[in-house]
This record gives sequence, C-alpha cells and structure tokens, in this order.
Amino acid sequence: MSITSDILRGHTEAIILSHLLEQDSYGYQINKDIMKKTDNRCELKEATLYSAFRRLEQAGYICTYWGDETVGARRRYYSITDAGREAYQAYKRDWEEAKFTIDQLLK
Amino acid sequence: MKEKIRKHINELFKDAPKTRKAVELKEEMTQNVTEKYEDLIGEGCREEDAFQVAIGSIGDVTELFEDLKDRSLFLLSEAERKKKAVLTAAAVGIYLLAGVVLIVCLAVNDVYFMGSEMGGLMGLALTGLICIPPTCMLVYAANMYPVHNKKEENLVELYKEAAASGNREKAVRRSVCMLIWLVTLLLYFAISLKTWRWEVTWLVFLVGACAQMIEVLLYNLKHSGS
Repeated sequence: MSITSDILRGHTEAIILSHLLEQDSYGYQINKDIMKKTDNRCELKEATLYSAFRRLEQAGYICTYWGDETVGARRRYYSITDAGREAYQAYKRDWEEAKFTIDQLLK
Repeated sequence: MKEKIRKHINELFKDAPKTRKAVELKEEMTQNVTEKYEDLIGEGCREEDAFQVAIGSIGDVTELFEDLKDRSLFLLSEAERKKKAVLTAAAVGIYLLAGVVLIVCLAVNDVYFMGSEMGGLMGLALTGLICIPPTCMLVYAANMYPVHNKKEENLVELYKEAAASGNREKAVRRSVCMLIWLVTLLLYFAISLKTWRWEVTWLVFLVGACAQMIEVLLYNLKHSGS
C-alpha cells in the first residue's frame, strides 16, 4: 500500500494533466474524479494538489482563471496549455517505458 | 458550519506570507473544502463528521508557504544584471577615451600652438565634458535596485515598490550631485586657466557647494509638498 501511495505522489502532476486533457477543471472536481476512477481508494490531500498546481503553473503547463459563480466562493479553474499537452505525452512515454522495465525486472 | 470552515482555514494560513497569492490560495481552498463538505452532507453525513472529514483532507499547508513568497526582493534580474555590466563597461571605456583625448589635445596644443593657454583650456574642458556621462552612468548603476513588478498588489508589495522607486530617485539624485561637482571642477580649471588667478578662483567650489545645497533644498521642498 505504501508503494502505491509513494508512486502516486510522484505522479501527481501527470495525473492532473491527464484530467485537464479532456476539459478545464478545478481542485475539488479533479480530486472527485480521482476518487471515482479508483473506487475511493485514492484521494489527494488539498496541499499536495496545490503544490502540484503551482509547479505546473510555473512550468507553463497549465493556466488558471476564476469561475464566474454568483453564489458562494468562486472556483478557480485550471486549463492545460499546448506545452502541457506536450509534457504530458512525453511523460506518458516515459511512464510506459518505466512500467515495461519494472515488469521485466519483477517477474 | 461554512463559517467554521473559513475560520479553520484562516487559522491554517496564519503564518503564511501576506501576499495576493496566499489570499487566492486560501479562497480556492475554502471553496474546495466547502464543496466537499456539502457533498458529504448530501450523502447523509452528520454535520460534525462532514466537517472533520473535509478538514482532514487539507493536509499540511506549510509546505505551500514557500511558494507564496516573493523571492526576487534582493536579487537583480538577469536583464538588470546585464544592463549594469554594460553600463559599467561603457563608463570605463569612456573614461579611457577621455584620458586619450586629454593627452592628444595637450600634445597637439604643444606642437602646433606652442602650448597656448587657450588650447590647453579647450583640451581640459573637452576631457571634463567627456567624463560627465560615464560618471552619471556609474552612479546610476551602483544604485540600481530591482524595480518591483506589480504581481502582488497588497500593502506589503506597495511598500516594497515605493522603496524600490525611492532607490531609483536616490540614484538620480546622486547623479545630479556628481554632475554639480564635475561642472564645478570644470569651471574652476576653466576660469583659473583663463584668468590665471588661482588665489581667487577656488571660490568656485563654494559656489558648487551652494548649488548642491540648493538641490537638497529643492528636493526637500518637493517632498514636504507631496
């Protein structure tokens, strides 16, 4: 279990990018999607999520805008940039390669 | 209960740097935690349980504080460093040029005009004039501080920006001061060589000091006015 959470933490950025590929989203929505996809096995802490957002923003992979909710607090949406798409593809290739190698080694 | 969430997050951000980024992050986090809370209530959770679960999902926020700081405060940006280097190099170059001009002028004066007073004076004046721009450049470069960009718009940042513009003002003032003294020096030699009455001409320096005091006075007047 600790291996899973360690590996997941190392891939937070890629997981976020992957969610933004389909559509713009905000923190809680992304977290909800992650929970749904993993049958509630996995949930990111808010703090982990935000530090990943900031890193992605600094790298120019995502950009952000405030939603125009009229009731309650505003949501902060994130959207993936072209550089982000490229980074995601590169990341995906790396991951496939790593997965393949580890599978080879752990037989 | 929503107020309780807001309060809890405010408490977590107690030690965060007071920047706009921090305020935005707080707002974003409050919104997300509130939504999670509402979803839990919708699923039939008791208020207190929902609150605890929602709050528990925040995690350790102190690691985020580092990102919220403004790190560029004491560092010149790459462009500014380059500008400073170019200014300094150019200034030194012009000083060397001034030295060459002086030597050439004196040599030409000696050979072709038999060391006339007028010729020497012209050479000296020319050299002095050439020295003015590099001096101003050096003084400006030495006082160049990072000018703050307007990313953060709270009181702290406004203060920093004011401080940065104060530095620029200081740089300009020092340039003016150097200019006054250079002109004074130039006048001193010019008048002295022209009249050859060295016992009187040093009074020019008193005039220079007066000019500087007037400059200080004008500056203070301007500032007490604003």
